[in-house]
Amino acid sequence: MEPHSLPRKSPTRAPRNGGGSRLPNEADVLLVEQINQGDDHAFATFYDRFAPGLFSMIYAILHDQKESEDVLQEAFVQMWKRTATYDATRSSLFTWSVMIARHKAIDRVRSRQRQSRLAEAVANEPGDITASAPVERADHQLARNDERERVRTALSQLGAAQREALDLAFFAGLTQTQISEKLGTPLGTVKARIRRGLMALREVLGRAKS
Amino acid sequence: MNEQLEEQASLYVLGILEGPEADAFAQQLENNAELRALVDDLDEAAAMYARSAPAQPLPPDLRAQVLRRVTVSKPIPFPKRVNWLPWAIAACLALVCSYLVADRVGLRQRVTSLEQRDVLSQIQIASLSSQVQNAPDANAVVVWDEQKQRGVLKVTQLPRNASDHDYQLWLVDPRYKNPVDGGVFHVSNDGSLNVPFQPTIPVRGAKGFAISLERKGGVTKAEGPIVLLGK
Repeated sequence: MEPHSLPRKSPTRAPRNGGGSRLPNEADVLLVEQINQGDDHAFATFYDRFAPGLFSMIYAILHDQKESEDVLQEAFVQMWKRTATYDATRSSLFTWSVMIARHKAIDRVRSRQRQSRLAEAVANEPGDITASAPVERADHQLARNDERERVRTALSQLGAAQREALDLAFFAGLTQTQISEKLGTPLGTVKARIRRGLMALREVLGRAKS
Repeated sequence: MNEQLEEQASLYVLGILEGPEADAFAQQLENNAELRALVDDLDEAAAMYARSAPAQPLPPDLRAQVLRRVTVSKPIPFPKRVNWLPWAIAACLALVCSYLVADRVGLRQRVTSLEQRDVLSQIQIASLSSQVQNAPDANAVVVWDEQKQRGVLKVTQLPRNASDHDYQLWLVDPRYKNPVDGGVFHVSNDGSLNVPFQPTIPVRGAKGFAISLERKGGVTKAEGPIVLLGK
């Protein structure tokens, strides 16, 4: 199933109007142009840059090695076919790839009716980032480490309740109601925690950019 | 931006805004640039949240598998649209031209067919039967083309006329008080004749045809006996 099968619309979007376009990352734009022209080597570079992070995310959603590998493959094949839909003025290439890969993974979760078990697994998952990265290019690893540091900083400013709600929404793919039931918290509170969590991340990331 | 919209945007980004609320939000998103920008920012924030996942070793052989899969399925090259666009336009024009030519040929055939059908619809055929006792088997057929104001008369078994007489064809047009002169003729020894004719004045909506035996050279108004009559 395609990413847009989820309630969320497809990651393919029109450029911003009036709201201010983000500055396109030139490296992203160049890479996408090359991939669009069918450049296999460019796509290999794309894979090397993003696959480690995406695989970790997918695994955090599925908790199954084989399934995670399948979903990563499916996601990259879709990205390869749909690179033309990427709009650098709307999002970074990383964000675009996360959206596609996450939709694939969540779709897999929902199709197998495994929400309950996964939610529990996610809830028990340690939240810190301590495991070592797989073997990868040094520059990519450094970049990822920088990003992790930014995320670590951002996440440290979130309350535990907000992290918990975001975890269940982002990684477990639970609905609002399921999160509410899982946490034994009113629906309105769940919504508010998710809002505050994402808005705080947005603010921290915005400050980091400026 | 109010909190409710921020909340909806957050849930939307995570794919957990559902039902009519999601539809309404998506609609609002189409026309609200500020909201669109917020969603884009929250997308970035949510994507960054993916990095909070514990690092999981990436199987080394997965890279080769992925690259093998993608090389057998080429991407859809959006920017190349510019390159094939003229060809697409040319192809479309060629198709349109082919269609127009085919359509014109078809139209021509239809017009011809309609014209033929129209011609046939204008043709009037009348069978004339004998009105005299000495030639009961005499008969004639009149084929009359009102459009062209011309016709053909075919008679059979009509007695040969005397040298000082002629047969004369009459067309009955209700607009005129008297039948219209269609011309004179005489028959050969076997009593048959096939001859074109043309009335002296225009005839519309002929109600019948008649042949009378008149003095040599014909008359302007029928005087002699009606030999054949029909409609």
